[in-house]
Amino acid sequence: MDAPEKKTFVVTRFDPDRDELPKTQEYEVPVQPDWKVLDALNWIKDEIDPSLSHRWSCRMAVCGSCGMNVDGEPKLTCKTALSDYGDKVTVEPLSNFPVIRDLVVEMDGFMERFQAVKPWIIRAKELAVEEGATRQSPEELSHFKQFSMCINCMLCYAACPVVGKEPGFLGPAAIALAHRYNLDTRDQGQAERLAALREGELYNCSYANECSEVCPKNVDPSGAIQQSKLLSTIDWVQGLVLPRTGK
Amino acid sequence: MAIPAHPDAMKPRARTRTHVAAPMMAGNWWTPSPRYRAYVAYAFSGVFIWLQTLVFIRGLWALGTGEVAWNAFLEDLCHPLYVVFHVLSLAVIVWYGARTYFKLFVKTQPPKIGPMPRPPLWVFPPALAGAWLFVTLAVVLVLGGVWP
Repeated sequence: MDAPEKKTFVVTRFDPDRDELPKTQEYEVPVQPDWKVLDALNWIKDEIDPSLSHRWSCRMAVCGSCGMNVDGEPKLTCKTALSDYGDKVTVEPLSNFPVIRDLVVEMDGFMERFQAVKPWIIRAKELAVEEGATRQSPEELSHFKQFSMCINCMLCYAACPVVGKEPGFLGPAAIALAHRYNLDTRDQGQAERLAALREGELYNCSYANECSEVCPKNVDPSGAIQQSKLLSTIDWVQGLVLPRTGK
Repeated sequence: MAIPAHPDAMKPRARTRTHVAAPMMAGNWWTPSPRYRAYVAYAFSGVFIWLQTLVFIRGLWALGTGEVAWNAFLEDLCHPLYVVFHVLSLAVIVWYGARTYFKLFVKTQPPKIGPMPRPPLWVFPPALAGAWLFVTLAVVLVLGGVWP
């Protein structure tokens, strides 16, 4: 086994009971060649400083818990190899979020944005059980499947310059989720969801495209936003000249 | 260096349970990554579009004022500074504005266009570039008196 290489981790610390502002603390860690950033954080917590707080769970880029800024870029720390970084690695909480403690950010605002776009199947009239399931072809599924792969890791919110400046903006993941349901052939709630998107300042997206660049699941929220803008504009114009008919 | 983001960025509507640190964002967010630099340059290309609009409005005003004003405007356009400005504008608007618009156009394509399935996405950038070249050439030929 290779000898461990030493790296210095510059980690953001914030204790809400003592600190007015976050500060940084440096840790020297003997890292193994196959370690991810999360391995180093867990080593710091286990071996040096048990007070360090960070979120993590599955360690396989599925749960979306361990998102942090690594050298300034939002990353899933369980998927980010330390071999790609220099001798000094900066780990900060995700940008654009209030910080609860150390590397842990406040998620409630994020969850509220999800609720706002009504991420469930909306039917004008519920089908009776005896009428059977609403069928959907594989081709129809393929139209929105990409947008349903989001793991809610919030990296897109940390990468988006608009989220940091416009608190009313719904943000990339919520809009991608709305678009996922708008493209679902079983859904009939597009008009009310598009109204929610307009209320959520959909058009404030200035196409930095960073959300799609940092997405670990290739969801392409930026694509969902641009398509939603188009759908919303068509819906708005139709609303001016035609009576509303459901979807 | 991080700077404060909007104090209400990602703030929940309900009162937060504990004292939190205010959200931060990268202060030099446009410098570290080539992607961000391209985004800022794209936004900056709007300044050239704005300046070109002013030139256009001045041209319209000269046209409405009379032949003397119009000829003076045309003479001004021949000034080396104007020529440099127009060449620079063309380069910036084509490289950042048009190129970004072409990428954006691909992103806006729905899964189906009417009843027809959408063509593969790779078709769009060369098709757009070809259409742009065709229109540019046609305009140059028409204005140059070569065609029709």
